Amino acid sequence: MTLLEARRIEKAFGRTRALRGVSVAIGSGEIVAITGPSGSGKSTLLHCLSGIMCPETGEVHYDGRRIDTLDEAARTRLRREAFGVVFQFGRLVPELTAAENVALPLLFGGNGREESATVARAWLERMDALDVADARPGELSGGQLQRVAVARALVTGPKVVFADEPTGALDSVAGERVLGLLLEAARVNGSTVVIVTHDNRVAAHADREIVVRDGAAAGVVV
Amino acid sequence: MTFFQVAGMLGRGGSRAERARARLVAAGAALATCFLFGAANVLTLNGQLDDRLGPIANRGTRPGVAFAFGLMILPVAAFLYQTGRLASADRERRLAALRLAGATPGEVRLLGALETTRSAALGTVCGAIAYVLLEWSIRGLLLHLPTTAAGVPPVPGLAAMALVIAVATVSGLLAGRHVVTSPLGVIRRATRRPPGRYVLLVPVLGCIPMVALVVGVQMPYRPFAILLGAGLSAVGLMLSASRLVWASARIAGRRARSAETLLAARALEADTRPWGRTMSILGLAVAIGSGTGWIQAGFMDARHTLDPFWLTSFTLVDLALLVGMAVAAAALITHQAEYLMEHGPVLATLRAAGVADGELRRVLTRQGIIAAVLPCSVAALIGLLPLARALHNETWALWPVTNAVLMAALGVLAATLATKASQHRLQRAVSPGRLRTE
Repeated sequence: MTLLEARRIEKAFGRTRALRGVSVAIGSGEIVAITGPSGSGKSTLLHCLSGIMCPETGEVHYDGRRIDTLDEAARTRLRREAFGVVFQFGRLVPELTAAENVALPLLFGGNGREESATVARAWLERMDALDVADARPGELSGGQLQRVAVARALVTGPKVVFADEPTGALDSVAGERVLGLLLEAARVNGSTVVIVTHDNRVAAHADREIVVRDGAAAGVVV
Repeated sequence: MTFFQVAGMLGRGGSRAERARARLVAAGAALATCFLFGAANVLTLNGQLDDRLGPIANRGTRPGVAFAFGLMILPVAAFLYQTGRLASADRERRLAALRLAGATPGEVRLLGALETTRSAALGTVCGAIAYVLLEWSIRGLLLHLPTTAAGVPPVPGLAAMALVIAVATVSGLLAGRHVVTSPLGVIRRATRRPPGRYVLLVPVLGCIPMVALVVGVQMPYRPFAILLGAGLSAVGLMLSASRLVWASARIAGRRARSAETLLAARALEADTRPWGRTMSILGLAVAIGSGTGWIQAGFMDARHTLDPFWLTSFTLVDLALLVGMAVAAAALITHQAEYLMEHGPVLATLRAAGVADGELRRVLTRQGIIAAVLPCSVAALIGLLPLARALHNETWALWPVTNAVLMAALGVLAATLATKASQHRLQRAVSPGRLRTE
């Protein structure tokens, strides 16, 4: 069953056309890698699929509902309730501890501090990062940062996890570990995972690979 | 190519934030020039003037007014320092290219300071022209004096301009010391922690003679002791502002029940100094404003009325305090702009994860509230102590207390409004473009 779909979407930044009529369909529970060279439009496609930005033409549907026509507030609610995001370098709040960073989405969701902290610690344990729960991002290694970021993305039990180059800044061993934890947790959760990467080793973990070139879907590798 | 030509070339290549910084430095320098010209102008006045002019009407009160004008330099200096930090990492990154071309770190910093100096010089000249025009108009309209001569003598005027430019240059150099430029790029040094708790002893020591006075203890050299106490309280209040902000943030962070409060408190706790600088000036204004409440109560208690001279004097004092608070709070706008610039990718990630713009705006607003509440409350309490006195009609004691509460509230409001004023930058700071790896 299709959970997320883009139909002939186009997006331009000034004179640069980042997406030129891309159509993709992603099923529930599927792990999809979006690959392609730098500047091909991979990240823009991910931003459009996740409702972070809207395409100029075309449609984006999530769970049978068109999301590109929703206003910013509705898309924000959708992202909070149904999506999780992981970016390169973790992008954690530097002033908060690892546990507080993971608890943040729960707190924004209206949960109590203690309850959020307990859930956050449980997720850090799953990500094998409980030992750094009280450390701040500046004190963590790249791999630890990404594991905490993955915990933050998954803590609310999202239906879809979007990951933009989640292992791009890591060495191969740390990258494999982060990716393994992300995919395992997503499978247990039943989450769909959309990973943007230019690393073939990362793409090899996906059920399907969508290749983007010059703003267009150039092919699908199963 | 000369050093100045390089500086000019670099200035023309500045980013939008850097151009904004240059304009703010110029505005601060213009304001500082106006205050110093005001002080010089008041000191050169001759004879008895119209009573409606309040404290500058009397020869005896003019040095006090000139001193008050001089004090207004404090918030402007804090503003200039804060402005100097705005986009400093951006600017130094641009200047880092010079390191590759063989410039020493000292030369790079000097070039940075030269940019500040140029903006300050421009602002000083504009401020001087604006003041002279304003002064001529006021002379003609209010005092009905001949407008043929400027009120500010040339030598003190030029000295004031030189002083402002020097202060701006030193501020620029100091603001740049947190950034280390190497040929490989730029790193911002870790922010300094606030001073230890020992610093809180200074205002406490200052309060001892005040409390002794209030409870009626006889003390030798009473006027000297009171003056020393008031001075120590004021200096202590300024020194301990960072510590008070830090304590307030720590308490709020521990007790936070919402994500917004937690983020605001932790951000404050991590970078207390800029808030402390502003709060030191805001706190001083709150303390002085609270103290004047007792003077006003004393007057009304003794005379049952206020004649135009004193009414105007008190109004002018309140006005000066408000201007000081506004200038000090304006420094927060530049600090928040810097915060948004640095935290843009992190905040954009939160937004991508479903945090609404309104929630991010609340984080900024709560930073202002958390930072201001404790320093302003302590300042209001300290301000109430020095001039506490027995009144014939005890009901008048409500006046300074109300005044102190009002001043503390104004301090918190000024900080909150400053954070609100910086929120228009949020939209750009969290745009999807900031999600891309830089």
